[in-house]
Amino acid sequence: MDLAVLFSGGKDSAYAMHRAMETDIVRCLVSIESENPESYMFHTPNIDITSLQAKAIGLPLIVGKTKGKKEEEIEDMKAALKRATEEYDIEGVVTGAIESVYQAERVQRACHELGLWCFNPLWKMDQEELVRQVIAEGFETMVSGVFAYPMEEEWLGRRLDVQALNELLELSKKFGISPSGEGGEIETTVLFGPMFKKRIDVLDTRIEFKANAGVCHILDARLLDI
Amino acid sequence: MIFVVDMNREGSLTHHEFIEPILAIAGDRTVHHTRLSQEGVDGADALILSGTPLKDRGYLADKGLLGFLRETDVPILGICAGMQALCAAYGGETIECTEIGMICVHTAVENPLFEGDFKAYALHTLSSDIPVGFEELARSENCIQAIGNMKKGVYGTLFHPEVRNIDIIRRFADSV
Repeated sequence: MDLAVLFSGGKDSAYAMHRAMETDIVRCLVSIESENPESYMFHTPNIDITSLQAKAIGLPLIVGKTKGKKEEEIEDMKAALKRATEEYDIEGVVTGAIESVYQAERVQRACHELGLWCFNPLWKMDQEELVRQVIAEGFETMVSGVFAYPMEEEWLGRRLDVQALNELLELSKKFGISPSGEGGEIETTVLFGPMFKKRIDVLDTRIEFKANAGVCHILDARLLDI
Repeated sequence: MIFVVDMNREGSLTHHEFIEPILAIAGDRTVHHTRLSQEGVDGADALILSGTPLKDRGYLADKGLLGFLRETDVPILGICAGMQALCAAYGGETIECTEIGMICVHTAVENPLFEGDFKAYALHTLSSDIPVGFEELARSENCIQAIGNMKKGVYGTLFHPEVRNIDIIRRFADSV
């Protein structure tokens, strides 16, 4: 089946894409840029880096813009998915939803209204296992946002490797944060993975951090041959 | 041993979404619905029939599956598509009814799997009327949410207990 991936640039949607590519054909990526930093659906640090990620993967990208008002943003996402249907003849949509019924039901409903299949290949996945698989499959993932106590500034820009996972598991035990950031505690940006034809090399970043919340903005990056 | 019956199109990406979450709660092996009648279920103490994506209704055309469900004596829990297959197997009429997201479920009859009013995750465009030999165990505002033939140990839930009501699957597994 020909599919589009709802792609935020983070590890979950990237790993969902990886799984989708094992059984189906991914024709394009769809990213939603929200102006609302409080959006439960689409807010992601470095969403503007998805165009470079799409180039690195070698797939076309459709960017949908939204002001991020509740429910209106779903209509904006539907418009972007409709474009994907018209331009790339897709039959279904893949998401990186794991636990969030809020996100899953909205995408399911949008797909239903558009007559599209909806696939959630990470649905209900154990979060530690997910991070382990992402690392084991060779993804290079950067922590690009932290949004919970006791996450410190040092996490921003850090690579999500086995050492980082072990530290997250410790924090998970002590403070109850999700080791995969499913509760919004951390956001990630994928720089390389099995489906990437080029590697993203981050050249310059700007860190913004205040009271256990912050973002590592990628200011400049380039593609490297592998 | 509990067999999880994969009701999805074979080789589909949906295995991760509809089978693995059930296996994480209960279930020892998987068998595809198209092979159930040929392979049989030797060694199975119970079957859990999985759900499918909204657009996947292929299981309803599987005559071998429906015949098998009608004749087997093994206890069954059918989830969503699994309940619809049970209803079809026992002569219930399929009805169009769409619910997507969290719904309120009201228990209608005391049963071993759940009680009272509770919230559950729904993902379906079909429901069914009550087939012969079954009773309505629960209902939402829009349609029947659970059926059962308690004597045979055969149950169906239209909602997906593997999402927010995993105790229902545990209770079923513990009962067999």
